[in-house]
Order: sequence, then C-alpha cells, then structure tokens
Amino acid sequence: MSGPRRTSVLMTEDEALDLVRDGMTVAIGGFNTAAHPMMIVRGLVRRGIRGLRVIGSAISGLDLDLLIGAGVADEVVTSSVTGEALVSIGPFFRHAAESGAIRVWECDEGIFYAGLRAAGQGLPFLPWKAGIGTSIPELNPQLKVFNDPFTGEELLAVPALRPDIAFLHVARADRYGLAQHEGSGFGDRALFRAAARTIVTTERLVPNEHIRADPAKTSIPYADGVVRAPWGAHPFSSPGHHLVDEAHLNEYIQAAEAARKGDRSAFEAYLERYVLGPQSLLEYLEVIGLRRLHELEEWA
Amino acid sequence: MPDGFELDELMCVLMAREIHDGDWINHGAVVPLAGAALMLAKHTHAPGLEFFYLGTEFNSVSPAVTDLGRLMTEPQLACSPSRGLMSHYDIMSLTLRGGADLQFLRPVQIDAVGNVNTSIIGSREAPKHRFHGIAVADAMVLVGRVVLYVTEHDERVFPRELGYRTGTGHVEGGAWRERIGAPGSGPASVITPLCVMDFETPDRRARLRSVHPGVDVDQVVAATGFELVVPDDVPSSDPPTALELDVLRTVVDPLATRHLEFKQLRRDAQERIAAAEAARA
Repeated sequence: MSGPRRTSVLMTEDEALDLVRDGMTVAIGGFNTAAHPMMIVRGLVRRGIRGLRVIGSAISGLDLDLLIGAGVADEVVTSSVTGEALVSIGPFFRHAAESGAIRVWECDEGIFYAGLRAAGQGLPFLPWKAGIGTSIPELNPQLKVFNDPFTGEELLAVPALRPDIAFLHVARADRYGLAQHEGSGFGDRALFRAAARTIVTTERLVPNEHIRADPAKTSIPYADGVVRAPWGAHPFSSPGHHLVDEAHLNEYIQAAEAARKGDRSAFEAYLERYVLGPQSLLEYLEVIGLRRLHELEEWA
Repeated sequence: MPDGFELDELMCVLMAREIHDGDWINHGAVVPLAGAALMLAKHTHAPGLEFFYLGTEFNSVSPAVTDLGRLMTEPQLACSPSRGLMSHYDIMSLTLRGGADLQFLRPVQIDAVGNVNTSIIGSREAPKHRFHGIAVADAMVLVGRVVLYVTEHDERVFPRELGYRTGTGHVEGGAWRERIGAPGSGPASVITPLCVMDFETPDRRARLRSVHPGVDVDQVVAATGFELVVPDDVPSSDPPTALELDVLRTVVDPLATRHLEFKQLRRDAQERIAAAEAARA
C-alpha cells in the first residue's frame, strides 16, 4: 500500500509479471476456492520464476499447489493448501512438504493475520495469545515465546509478514487503482495493507464515476497497478461474476495426484495445455472455450 | 450398526448433544460432520445457537439456509440470507478474547489429556506425513468447550505420545488451564467411531464415557494407544431419537455431505454432491 494519487496505473499482464524477480516474497490473494489471481499464477509458471516465498491467502487453494508443482515456490506461508470438498490437502503441497522440497511456514489463520497486521503497521512483530502450551514454535522457529512486559504472561511473538508484492483479483477497479470486491475480500485487504506494492487484476475495468457512486464498497484504495482480467480467476470463482469450475479443478487434482504418486505425464500435459502453451489470458480462455465459460456464468 | 441408523448418524447426533442452547460456535465449511451436528442442534434442542460460517466464498454469521448441501453447492447462500458478513480476521480476534463457547475439531492425533496434533508426523524438515496444518487448534486454549472427534479409532490416532502438540488440551493433566488463566475449560469430550470419551477425572485424563451399540469395552481399550480410564460401569451411547434422525436426514443434511469426513464414504459423497450440482445447472 503506497498512498493516494491521481494518475493512471493501468498495466498489461506482461508489465505486471515483469515486476516479479526470482526469490521475492509474493502474496497471492483470494480465499479457498474463490478469486485467486490465476492469470498471474499461470504467468509466473510460464516465465519460469523460481525461489519465491509465497504468502497465500489465509486458506489457500490449489493456486499455491500449482506454484509448488511447477517449481516456482520455495517456501509457503499459509494455514493450509486445500481443495475443500474436492481434495482436503493439495497434492503437491503434501508431497513437497513431505520430501522437504519446500519449507512450510507453519501457522494458522490467526498467526497469519497477526504477521500481516504487524507489517501493515510497520511493526517488527505482534503478540499472539493462542498457541501457548503447544509445540508450534518447534514447528515454526520464527515464532518466539516471550513474556508480556506488564504482567509476565506468556505470549507468542509473530514476526511481520511483508510481501514485496501482492496480487489480488477484484470485481471492479478504475484506472487509478481504486478497487472493489464483491463478497467479503477481507483477507485481500490484509494482504494489501501488508504489501510494499499491490497489483489488482480486475474482472471489470470501470470509469471512476462508478467507484464514486458507491465509495463504501472500495476495499483496496489505490492499488499500485491495475490489469484488466475478465475471467482472470478461472478455474476459481469470481464472486458476483461466475462460479467455480469444479470439472477443471478435478482435472487438475487427478493430474496432481498422479504426479504425487510418481507419474508426472498428466500434469505435464495439463501444464502444456493450460499454463505454458497459452501466452496470455485471452489465449487461455480460448482453450477453456466459450461453452464452459457460459455454463459458469450464472447461479443455477 | 443395529437399530436402523448408521454410524455417521450416531456420531453426528452425539456431537450435536454436546451443544448448549445459546452457544456461539466457529464453524468451517470443510467439516460437514461438525456442520451437520451444529445444524441438527439448532433445529432441535438449541434454537438460540449462533455460528460463524467460514464458507468457501463468504464468511458470515448464521446463514439462514438449513440444508448443508445447499450451502456447499450454492456458496452465495452463505452470504444472503445471513445475519451479516464477518471477517475471518474479526472472528479470530473474538476467539482470542474468549468469545467462542464451543469448537469442534478433528485432529490427526489425540493424547491421553486431550492435547492434539494437526500438522505433521516426523521431522520438521521432511515430515513422514504432512496434514492440513494447525487450523485453529492453537485456539483450543481459549475456547470454552472443545469437542474433539475422529472418524478412525486406532493406536495411531490415540498414541501415547504426539508427533507435535499444535493444540493444548489439559497439557500435563491436572489444573494446567486454571494455572495459566485459560478462559475456556478445554476439551470436554472425544467422539469416535467406537465410543465417547471425556476428561471427568481428577487429573483430566481421558475416561471412557460410553461405548456405541455393538462395541465392547475391550475393543476400545485395545484400539487406544494410551491408557484409558475405564469406570466399572460403562453405559451404551444413547442412540439417536426418531426426531433427531428425521431432522438430520430430511432437513439438515439430506445429501449426507457429512460422509466427506469418512474415508470410505468420501468418494460416493463427492459424486453425489457433484450430481446435485449438475442437476441444478
């Protein structure tokens, strides 16, 4: 978050991806099976970005799983990587954690938000009260037990989680970076406050007058970049716009589960068809096809 | 299971009975057995129950839809009609202040005093098994009553020693919670496919409260890795009433989404839910 301005921050998909360097700390917004900025996620894989510390949403979906499976992430910060009812734990997340291929910054949702809030307020850490009496500090040595200087009570210190850049998918935004969510978007706001820079991909690019007509809905005041990205969250849902594409997620899960068990061929084919082949959001949507998109567009 | 009900129904009913009228409960969409218990309680003995619903798209307070399957397949119903949206962050804050009366939790491992492990077994760098993660287990220290449940009952689930302790039960046993001033009273019970345990002993060690119909005490003891306190008389778990079964089957969870939490029933449940979605599309 870097403050108000009145100049256009519109950028292209490629300009947004140009901001990411190997080894950065990158936050990927959304929640569960909703509104992950998948245009960016696929772009990071396509460009062969490596060594990222990825801060997921409080409950990450298979967006993080893909980044792990494609070798983009070295470390993940999230309470869980899940496909909800479809698969309780991301196949690549599980496999890479068990083989030691990634580091997992063990936390729950509360610890996650405490770290983001510390960053958002420019603090080195914030205290967290849950977890006392547990061995969580052994699982995550960056969490330190300390004593309240006033009462002596034991607390956990959660260090600030500072994304170099956060990517969020929103329902609408104007050219100046004023963005609005449909649905809650509460986790995205926390990532925005914590991150040095925030780029939103937006379902609809709207005139500033539309934002002004309903200012209470503005959830991200002044993103640092706005990329027009209708269907940019597919295969996840985009609240207010379209449903989750469960058939596609199941296709991914089957390929990823096979890879976890040693046969990467279906996953390589998945990557080629959906991630490495299409060179832009538009080319990706052509692969998905109008028929599928049409089916997802309304609440049945 | 005898007497015209299934094990998942019995477990769900036993979990529902742990809820008191007027409780505030945090609930996540991914645990429909707990969800069905919550809805069942609300529509039988606990109409004053209110809950935070951590949905896949919306986080809200007490969505009005009574059918869990619809909440799962039509996520917008978690938002409207509901009492209002509430952020995930706010619910964590409220819980931190001791605002949650009851929490259901399904850990990977549970020890003799109700401490739990939800994250990994093996070394931190390359664990033998990676599970879901802390979830909200660390908040166990702050929640009024914690109802633990598992859908498998063996020595791996109930070991002598945990891999890691990601949630506190009664820690070393005895009055640990009172000593550190924990606002809640900690684990109240454990519902398993074989029995119900509680911690109603002086040193807060797990005690066998009841065994399910058709299960005998020796079977439970043999399947439990730690030493279980076994009273002289262990009653049979109270079976579901006709009303409880009817509400569960017809109002609260007609799609039996609760089966997602049972390994053997999961695949069929997924197909059933997908078919229900397709039928509406």
